[in-house]
Amino acid sequence: MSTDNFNDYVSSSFERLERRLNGHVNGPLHNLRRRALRQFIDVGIPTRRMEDWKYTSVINVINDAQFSSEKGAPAPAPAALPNEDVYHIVITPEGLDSAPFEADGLTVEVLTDELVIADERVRSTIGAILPIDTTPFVAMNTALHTTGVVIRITGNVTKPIHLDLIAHDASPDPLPSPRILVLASEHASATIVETVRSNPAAVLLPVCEIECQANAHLHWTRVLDDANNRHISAMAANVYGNGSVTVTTCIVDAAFVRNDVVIRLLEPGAQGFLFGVSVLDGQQFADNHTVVDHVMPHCHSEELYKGVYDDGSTGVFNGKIFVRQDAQKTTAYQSNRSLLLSPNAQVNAKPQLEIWADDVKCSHGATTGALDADAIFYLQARGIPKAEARRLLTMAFAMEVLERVPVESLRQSLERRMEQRLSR
Amino acid sequence: MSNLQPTESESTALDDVVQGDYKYGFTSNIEQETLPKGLSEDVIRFISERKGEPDWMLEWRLSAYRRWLDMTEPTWANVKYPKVDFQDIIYWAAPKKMPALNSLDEVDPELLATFEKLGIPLEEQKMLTGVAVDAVLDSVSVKTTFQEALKEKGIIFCPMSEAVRDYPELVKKYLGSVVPVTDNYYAALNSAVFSDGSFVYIPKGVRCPMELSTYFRINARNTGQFERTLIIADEGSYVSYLEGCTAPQRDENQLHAAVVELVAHTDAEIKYSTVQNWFPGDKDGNGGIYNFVTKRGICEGARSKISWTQVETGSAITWKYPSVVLKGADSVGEFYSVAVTNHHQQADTGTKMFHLGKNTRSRIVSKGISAGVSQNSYRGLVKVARNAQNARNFSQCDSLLIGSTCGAHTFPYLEIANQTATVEHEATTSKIGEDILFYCNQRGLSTEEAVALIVNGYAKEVLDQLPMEFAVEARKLLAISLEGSVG
Repeated sequence: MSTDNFNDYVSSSFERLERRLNGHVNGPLHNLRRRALRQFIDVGIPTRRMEDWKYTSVINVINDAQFSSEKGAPAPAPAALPNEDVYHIVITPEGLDSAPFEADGLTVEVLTDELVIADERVRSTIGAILPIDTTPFVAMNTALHTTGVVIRITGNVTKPIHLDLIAHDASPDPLPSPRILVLASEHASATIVETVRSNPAAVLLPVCEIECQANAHLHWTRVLDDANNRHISAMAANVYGNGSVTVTTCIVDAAFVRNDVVIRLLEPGAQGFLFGVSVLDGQQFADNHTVVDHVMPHCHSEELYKGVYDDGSTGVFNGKIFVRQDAQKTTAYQSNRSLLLSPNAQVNAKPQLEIWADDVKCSHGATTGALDADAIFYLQARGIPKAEARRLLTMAFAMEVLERVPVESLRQSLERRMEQRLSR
Repeated sequence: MSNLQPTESESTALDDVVQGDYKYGFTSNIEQETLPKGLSEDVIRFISERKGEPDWMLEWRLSAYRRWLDMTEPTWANVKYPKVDFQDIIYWAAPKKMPALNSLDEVDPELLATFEKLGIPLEEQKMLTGVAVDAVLDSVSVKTTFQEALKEKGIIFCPMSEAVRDYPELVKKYLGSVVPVTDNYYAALNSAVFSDGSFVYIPKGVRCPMELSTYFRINARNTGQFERTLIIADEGSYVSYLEGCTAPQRDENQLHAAVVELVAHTDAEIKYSTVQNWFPGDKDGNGGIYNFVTKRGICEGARSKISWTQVETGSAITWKYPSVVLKGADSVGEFYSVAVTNHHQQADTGTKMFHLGKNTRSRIVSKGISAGVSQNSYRGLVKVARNAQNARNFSQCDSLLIGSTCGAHTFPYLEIANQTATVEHEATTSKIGEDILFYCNQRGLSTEEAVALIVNGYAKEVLDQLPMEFAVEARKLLAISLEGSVG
């Protein structure tokens, strides 16, 4: 399909959306949508000729989503969070599946024009933390999102917040685009777990914007554990004085993933942590695309992305550390490690440092290789069969990221999931 | 960083050094024969005719030119500069006097004086160091020494224009085989208008008895310099080639678009060293050389080795990625680089290692030092192809920042499609530690001396790769480029 056809599809989707508004087309949110639509039409679907999409071809994924007549089974209940007492927020293409609520320093609302008009903070953050020109898919999400949710964290939220994104087969939209805005007030803290239930016909295009005010702490864990998952997401966090945002991406199973994560450290003492683990096989594909932007001095960031690639799977990592001229006394560390388990697996890595300040300590490291033959031999010499030895070492490799998952039951279920995958 | 701030008297002394005139900025008044500015097929025909080239060479140039017309300038590098007007460049300039030379006495005395000012008198080089010098002044090689000694071994070391005439079979076979005409915009331009350069052929099993060296020098006003170098090391041979440059001070930007091709056959080894000190522009960023160079070597045969070493201190804009294609089994590629940028200089440099054969190894050591308001980028690619079993790469890219207004950037690309590959990349960016400076101060070294000491130690791993006579020059260059940038 040519880009023109796709533009038609996006435009007609937009018109459908507009018709549902009964003439309420002059609100600030709708104006933002309109600008985003123009932006998307201008740029179109990214191609591999664009530097940021050099290793990632999305056109086929998008095409499949549109023309697939295949209807998958209804999305299963999320396996990732068994028996955990959580605040459950279910987001479907039709809207928020649970009623808006308020409890325990947590407020959940639906993003509407009225809310944008009434609330200064929503107005100043929506479309500002992730501007529409960040990626074409951010523009598309901004133009077409059918479900917008505003999550406010005003205190210490003790239970994990479970964001349950669903793209089930009854959906009329093959490209559901949920929009999430998280506003954490000063001294607030929360743990958020995002899971996805998808079907083979849909590609999920979520966009999350996070504002983390001074001394607030957010821990976001994204879980992709379904072989049907096709996921092109963007997330950005603005972090203020002494606040911290941690994003842990666990790709235990997924057909196609492109994750853009941006963390901006905007006041002294802000911290950003990015962790990720991908375990892929078959023809699976995962691209982690990160930017850590050190704007102010005395900020700290750490990044660790690991990948285990079997069969004909492909892993991509693009990590940029940006240190602006004012950001003296920055410490920024980045590490990317990949394990290739099959002759047909492939890794493309592009760690980047852009440093404009002198009093900084920044480093990145990237390694790619197979399992250490000596280590396997060591285990074999102690009576552990080769296959088991390989599994053990691979698990140990992945655990360095998994053990950072803050919810105990989630960590255990992810560990089990990973063990199952590695022993098949 | 208070102890890094120089005192007033110190900074005056520093200013003297930093703001001092470019040491090698002078013009030698050798009569020039030049073409009017601009590029067209006629200009290429003229160049080809003046050089007495055969038809096939002219055809090759013309086809490169036609391809070039369809190409666009690359814009992906992390450098900013006013667009080059390719019609505002003189594509041919040659010293008018072309004496047949048997001894140094016959060389234009003014030319000799020029080299003397540069600190590389041919005489001394010849007598003391035993280095054969193919001195290129602008476009035509005017003096070649030691040719006789090399001839005995069967080594061909001559200007490219001579090689086109005398060894057409070799040139036809290898020219453009490593860097194809359409490789990139500047390579295509070079293929169309290349003026001269060096041609080296080392026969089977011969170990070149001396370092081969060429000193390039841009001399004529508004003259683009388009060197073309081709080095072929046949089976089991070894050659170490040196290239160094200084250029006189000019106000207008000058373009330098060279192409260097290396071919190493089975068991052969080529060591290519560069000390680059083109005019970097004045302290306000006026003038300076645009250095857009394509350098690539191919390890054609098994167990062959190509090693690039570069010390880059000059040029206003550098755009340079010496690469190695590791085709033969067990072949080795190396890249050692020190890139220093000061004032308004911008450098986007690095390497590419293509692992195609089995058991190939590569090693990248890049040390960037930025000062003033300069920008220094490392950009590198390590590619392991599907069939490159047991490839091994290690990359180390360190950046040192001196002053808070400069930038250091790293853009490594790692593309790994083979499970047995082991690829490691490491990069660090930092300034010189205050504790280290304090330690030196405490022991009686001034901050200046301490920085020089630390930087030299930082770059040692690369400088050690240079042949003796270049190592000395390189250390001097590092000192000149950096002294006074502390603070």
